[in-house]
Amino acid sequence: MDEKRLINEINQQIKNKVNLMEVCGTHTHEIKRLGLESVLSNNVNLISGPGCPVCVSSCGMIDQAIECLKDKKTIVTFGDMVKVKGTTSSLKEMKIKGYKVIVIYSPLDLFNIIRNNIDEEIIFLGVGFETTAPVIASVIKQMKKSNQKNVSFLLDIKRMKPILIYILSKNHKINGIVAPGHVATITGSEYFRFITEDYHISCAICGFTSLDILSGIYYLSKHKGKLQFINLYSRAVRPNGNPLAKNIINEVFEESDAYWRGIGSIKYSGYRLNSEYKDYDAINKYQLNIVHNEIDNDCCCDKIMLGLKKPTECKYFRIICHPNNPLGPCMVSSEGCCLAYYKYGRKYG
Amino acid sequence: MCLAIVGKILSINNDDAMVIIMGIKTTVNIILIEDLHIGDEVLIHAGFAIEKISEEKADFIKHQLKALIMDDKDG
Repeated sequence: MDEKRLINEINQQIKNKVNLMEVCGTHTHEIKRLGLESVLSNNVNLISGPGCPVCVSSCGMIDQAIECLKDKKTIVTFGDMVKVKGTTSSLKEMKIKGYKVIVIYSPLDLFNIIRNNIDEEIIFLGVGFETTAPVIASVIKQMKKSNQKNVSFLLDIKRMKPILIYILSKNHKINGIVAPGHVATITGSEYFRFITEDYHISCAICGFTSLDILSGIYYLSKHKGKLQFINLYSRAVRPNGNPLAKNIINEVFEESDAYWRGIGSIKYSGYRLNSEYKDYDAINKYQLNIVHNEIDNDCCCDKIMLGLKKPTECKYFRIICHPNNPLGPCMVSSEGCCLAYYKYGRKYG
Repeated sequence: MCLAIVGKILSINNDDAMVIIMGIKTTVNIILIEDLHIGDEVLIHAGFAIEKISEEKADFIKHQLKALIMDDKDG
């Protein structure tokens, strides 16, 4: 079985329109990078959901990180986060002005940073979904164990299930969900079964190769009208996920309401540090006041993230909004849907 | 953000392991995985191994597809 045969099978079998939503930025980019839409039947409508944690990060978190910089603290964060704007500025703009912003690949790099900057107050601005939560939790646990005093965490970690419930509880035309393989690696495939059982929509948990993604599309389009749930990424996803990773999430975090940029606050859709770790919570340590403002422009990233519009339907796409002048987070983040459309596809617009 | 890549374990030293990823050797943290052995393949995210790749399930997708397509032809 190869990709070419699978594409032929999909195109031959699909007679009516099928709307499939993926909720992982890596899936979005692979679909666009591989140009799958250009080789699949027009009846396959691939919709990108809110699968990029940078895109849905709250403006208020970035605003507060900027306030902390002004207060002579050091902000450490992932690369994509420096480019995303708060209500007035971004961490990148602050870095250019001389404030101390350090970009890291892994939260493990924090250990060296705090060791080399012992007289500074270090704040890690962390975002992510369930995939990244245990990684950040492990580092926080280790910080507490070694009694590190000059570090705290400003976290905007999101949970996938509540946002899917939010989308599926509203009017939508989704026939199938391509579920994010690496979230499922942690949570387990069963975490996504509610999609089929409660919302009567088929769901395939998929990996990230061309064969993985095409298999998901094949499976979901083949079974249109017939409810199915399958874990196609079983080589890396167990039914109940990774127990050690889930334990450490539960040990360090508790579920909390979270604010999704352009969407609003959703009950229990995030993680925050629990009372055992409150000394490491930057909000608690510095009495930060997170105000969830939105940027005042006509950018339609909110609709794009909910799958209600495609980037090409935005009047600013490519014209005013492009990687050198992103109006919204979907053009900023390397996993953003608008950037994927911009990078890989004049043919889509 | 949820990007993860596959690496093979070359050696283990307490909470860390040396892995090889597409010819490049690097160290990853392995505290999130139980019962890891030299030669195992792991999924790596942000400096941590987050899951062992199942050898047993490596060809699952190909078998599954074959069955589905046969089912199509028969049905």
